[in-house]
Amino acid sequence: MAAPTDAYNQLQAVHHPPTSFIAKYIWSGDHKVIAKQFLWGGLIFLLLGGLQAMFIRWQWAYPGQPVPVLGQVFFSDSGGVITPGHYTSLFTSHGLIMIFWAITPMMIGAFGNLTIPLMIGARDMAFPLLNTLSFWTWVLSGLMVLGSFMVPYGTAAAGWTTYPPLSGNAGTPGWGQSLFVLAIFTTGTATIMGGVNYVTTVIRLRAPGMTWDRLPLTVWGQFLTAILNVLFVPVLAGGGILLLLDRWFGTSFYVAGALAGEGAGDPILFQHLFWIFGHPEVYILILPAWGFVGDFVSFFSRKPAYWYKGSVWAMTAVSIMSAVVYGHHMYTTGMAPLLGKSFMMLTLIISVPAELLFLNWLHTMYHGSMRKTVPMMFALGTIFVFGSGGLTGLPLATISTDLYLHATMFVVGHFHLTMASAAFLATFGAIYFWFPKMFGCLMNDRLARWHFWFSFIGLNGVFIGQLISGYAGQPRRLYDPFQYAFTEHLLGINQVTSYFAFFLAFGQIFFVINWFTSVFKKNPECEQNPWQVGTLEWSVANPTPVYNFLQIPIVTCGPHEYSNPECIEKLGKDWQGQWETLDGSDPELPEPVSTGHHHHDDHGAEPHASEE
Amino acid sequence: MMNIASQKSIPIAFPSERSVRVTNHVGMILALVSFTMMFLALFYAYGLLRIRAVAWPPPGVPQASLVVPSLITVMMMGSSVAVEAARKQIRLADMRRFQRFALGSIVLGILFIGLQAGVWVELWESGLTLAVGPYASLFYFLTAFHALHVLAGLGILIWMYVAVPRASHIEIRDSRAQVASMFWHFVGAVWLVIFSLVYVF
Repeated sequence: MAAPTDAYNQLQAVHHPPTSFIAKYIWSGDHKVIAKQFLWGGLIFLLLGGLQAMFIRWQWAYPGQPVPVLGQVFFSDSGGVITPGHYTSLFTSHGLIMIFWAITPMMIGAFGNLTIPLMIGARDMAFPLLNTLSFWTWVLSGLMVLGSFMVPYGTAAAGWTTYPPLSGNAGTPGWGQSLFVLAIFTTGTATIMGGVNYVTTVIRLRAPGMTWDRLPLTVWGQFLTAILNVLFVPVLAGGGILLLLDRWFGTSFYVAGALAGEGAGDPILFQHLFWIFGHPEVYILILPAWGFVGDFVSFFSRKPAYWYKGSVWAMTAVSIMSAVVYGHHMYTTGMAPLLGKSFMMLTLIISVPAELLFLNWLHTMYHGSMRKTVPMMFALGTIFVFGSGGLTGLPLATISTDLYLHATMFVVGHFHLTMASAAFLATFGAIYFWFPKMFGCLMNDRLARWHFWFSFIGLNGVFIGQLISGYAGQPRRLYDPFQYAFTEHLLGINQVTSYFAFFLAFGQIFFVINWFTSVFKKNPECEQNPWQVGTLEWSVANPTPVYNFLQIPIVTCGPHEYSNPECIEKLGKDWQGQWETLDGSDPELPEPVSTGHHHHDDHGAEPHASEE
Repeated sequence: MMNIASQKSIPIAFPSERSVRVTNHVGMILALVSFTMMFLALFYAYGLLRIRAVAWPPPGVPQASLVVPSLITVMMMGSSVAVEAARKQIRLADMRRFQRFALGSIVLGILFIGLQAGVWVELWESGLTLAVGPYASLFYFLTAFHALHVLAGLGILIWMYVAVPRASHIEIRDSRAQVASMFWHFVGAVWLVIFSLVYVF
């Protein structure tokens, strides 16, 4: 078989299958292996972060009482009781671990890596070595996190937002907080490496015919997320460096008041840097979910995505606007009223494109032939929790109501519905959907449905419970909220909320069983295209061969060609693959070839002008 | 649909040199955008702390003379020119002169670091310590953080010095020199901003 000769096939290498164990499983440049590594790593941290959430919920339901069974393992120094010290560490590291070591690696690390090259028709990422380095840098940061639990004074305890002066040496002495900040910096580096790789890959390695308006929405979500990562994670890195210098070298960037020497720094500076990153970050964590949902809703309604370009523009508009709304996290810092109003208007405006997306999903489902597959159930669940999370954002965006709700459990419920629940459900939907591409078989359908209903009911119960108790005035982060007269009557609702949390945790057992039996005991191999969808990854075998596409596919149509009468008539099925033509002929290479390829025989010294 | 060959018959396709070059170029642009955002965050911190300060610089703190900082600024710019001169030699296929110019840029970069370190020692000994507050913190941090990037840039230039002649294809040679020079010019451009912020204004 001759080597492919056209320009597109010479854009990328065809990888050799790895021969040694290390090349195959440890130091691999293959985006599919790195995706699995990120998935495993993320699931382990998700378990850890979830366990911490259960301890927090235990404390709010039974304050000061020993945690049954697990308390003897994790809180043996206090007889199984969660002490105030434990508690601050718990809610701090729960938030950071979930964001940077669970959702990010699973949703972006795993599914960005898996889907981008496969869905755009590429053989791998643009920079495979950078991809490997990104994963191992993330592992290093994860080890720092685990290490921070073992040093004197314990792990980070300044809240996930890490505000000084609490995160300074006076507030949280010892190595735990420093290690955690360093770990955030390190995982940020890994994220930027991944982001550079993803964006370059989408720009450079799309198969011929894969124009920007034929990209699956999943790829759009990952692409925009990667852009936001490249732009805004470095801002957090900058803020983190200054904090570490304050902690280690006695600089005074964030030090003010009695702690400062001759000149005072400004702790509010950290809040600016944190939220300039932090607000794009919440969209970083939801854009991939929007991408999954946009695709799944079309795939399983057997209809083209309603107003595809509108959805793409809406996601792009949200990404751009996410840079200019961060001030709504800082209404209570003494911000100038005019500035506060500007941020309020921008924040309310950013919900418009989000609503447009929402309406597009509903329109896609309307009059569709809905197939209630497991990924579709998770997509519907995502839509529901994202909708309720989005609506509860409006009173937080509005200054007059935010002054009351600020730093209450209402905020906690709101952001857990959007970036926790929606990200959780969408990511698990993605796991069930793309499992064959990674492991060659489908996961067990019945267990998956149990997992869905336990998760969906549990997540809603927990976070709606938090909305209610927050609306009633319960402040967030309190060790024992019920010792105050104005919140002591809220113990009941907190207990009910905690029961939902335990219900949610119990439901994850179905996933764990399903995961291990599917990965290791191998269900019967599924057919090549079990969902009958038309995106490029389903044009190759399960699990995917190491080089993805031996011949780079030629893309003929958009990602959502369903129930086209002409297609049903000519191909006898209700979907058209992006690699298929309706008349059964071979797709033709579109002209002109945009890569400006030069032939190999221009070796040597002849100077020629750059064309890009 | 796609035919899956057995592993024995997989033809190994290599990407064309030119496509590698363009891809590397795009990746480097994105990486530099990311670095730019980090430095912008730090300049933002500088601006906010400076606006809030009662006096800038605080009365009585020692000031650096502009002589050495101006000199190293010229060196940094000269080093960038030398890198461009080296790149030109790639097109002319003269690797000896390429290495000579590259070496020149590396030497200028090392001199930059050395003289900058001299400024630090001098100012510290004359009393500009971290106890002075944000003014001193920002002075030492911005210049030292930049110096770290100069060190990284020197590493990349040394890699360029070695790796460019090793490549046999002109596109690969040019690609390696291009990404190295992009980083070096970026470090130089950031220096111009830092020079203005901490020494001039």
